[in-house]
Amino acid sequence: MMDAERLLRRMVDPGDYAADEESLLAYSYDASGLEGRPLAVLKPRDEEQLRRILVHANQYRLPVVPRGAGTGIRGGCVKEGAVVLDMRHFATIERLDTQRHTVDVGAGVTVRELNAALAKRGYRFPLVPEDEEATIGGLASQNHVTEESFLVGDYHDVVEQAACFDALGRHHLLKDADLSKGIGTEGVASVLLTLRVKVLPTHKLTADVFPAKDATAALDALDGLPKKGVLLAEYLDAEAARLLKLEGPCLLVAYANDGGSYKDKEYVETLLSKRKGLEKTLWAKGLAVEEAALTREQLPAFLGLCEKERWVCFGHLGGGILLAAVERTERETFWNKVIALGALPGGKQGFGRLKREYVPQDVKKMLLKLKEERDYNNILNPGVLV
Amino acid sequence: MIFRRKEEEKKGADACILCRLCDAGSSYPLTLDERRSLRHAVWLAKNRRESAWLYAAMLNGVGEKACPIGIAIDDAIIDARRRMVEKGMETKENREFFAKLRQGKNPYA
Repeated sequence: MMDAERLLRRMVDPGDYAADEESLLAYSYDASGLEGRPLAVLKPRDEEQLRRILVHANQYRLPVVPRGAGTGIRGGCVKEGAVVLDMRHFATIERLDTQRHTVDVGAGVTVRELNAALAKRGYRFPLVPEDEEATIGGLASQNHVTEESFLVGDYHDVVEQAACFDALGRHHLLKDADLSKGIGTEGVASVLLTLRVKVLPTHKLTADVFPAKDATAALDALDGLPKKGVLLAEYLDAEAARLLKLEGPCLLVAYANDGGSYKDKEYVETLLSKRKGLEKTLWAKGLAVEEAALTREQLPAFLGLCEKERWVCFGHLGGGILLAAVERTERETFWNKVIALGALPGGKQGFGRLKREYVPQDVKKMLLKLKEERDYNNILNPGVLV
Repeated sequence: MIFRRKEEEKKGADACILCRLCDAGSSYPLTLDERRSLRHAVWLAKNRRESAWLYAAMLNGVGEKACPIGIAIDDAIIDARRRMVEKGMETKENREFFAKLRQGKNPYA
């Protein structure tokens, strides 16, 4: 092992290798609450350094964990004895294509950094998570879903192409159907390098609030929406609506045109930013926000469950993902009750290490096949998903 | 002070959910050194760990303003530093740190 460590040290610039007590401690946790002390932390600055690390780790069968900002809540980047790849140096934002509305982003760029850079050119990245300090690479590897997924879809839709390395240090350019070999695989088959993502030009903003006393009314309001220009359609139960100073339960809809009856841009922006801040408001109350992917048929039962358990319920009704604020000790109960409904817990921020037992069998089978092809020594993020 | 929450609304480091929103205003985005992140300082305070890196926090109130939970971050870090001193745990690094500061040198170098 000493040989391996000595060689690892040589793979990156002197300041980019860390195995001191404090660094290992600082990389031993993320936002999930899981802890695991890594073997070393490496911060590659370019593709060549990263490729050498992967080849070397493969030779010595060292587990490698790619890490962005460490904001994940499922423990995807925490592993005892692993080599942590801090990808934050992959921080380029270039080639904004104003014809095709795309920009090339390094995996280590945070959403806040990306949107600050894009705002100067009159553009924005639409899939903004609650925690803007998350990196694009981390979010893409989880296939993170946000309220604007209603219009633009998830990371499979927003990423046009992604460059990545597999565990053997082979370079791949993922496009179209191949994107699923990098997006949503939580770093178990590839390390994302750069992504060409779609962006939106700044646009008009209007909104509507439709009363939705029950699931049927919410779905009716959703079905009645125009086919074009709807940015998001968010369900808010009575308590969630009250926190936004609205009358609930209701469906909050935002449009990228004049379609809504609330036309004061400042008011609509405030409303949407409050919606975005809802998770944070609930965190401040000591609650955890968990999610479930639902079909239309499962919606009434899920809303009934939330009402019975007194869980604040809201979320991306348009995207089929609803959120519930539960006591931190009730997270397991939530997942089990959602499964009992026949629905799929998760779907918004990956499964990671914490929820790997809930990964559907067909997804596991697909990932195992992918690992056989791209990571047959199982060094990339072992213990996550599969 | 107008940006700070009312005293009674503030919470201790134990409430931290490690979201990292406080780090937007810390030196972490510039240095990309996790040890210097405000989140790590709060984690140290939350886990009652003594470390010289508690002194990397600038205590400028920006992180506290950004915290969605309303944690009194600066107070929590000062408390953690105080615990270190009370335990007689002024580290070698800490002594060197202040010596460098007094000499007008870069304390982190």
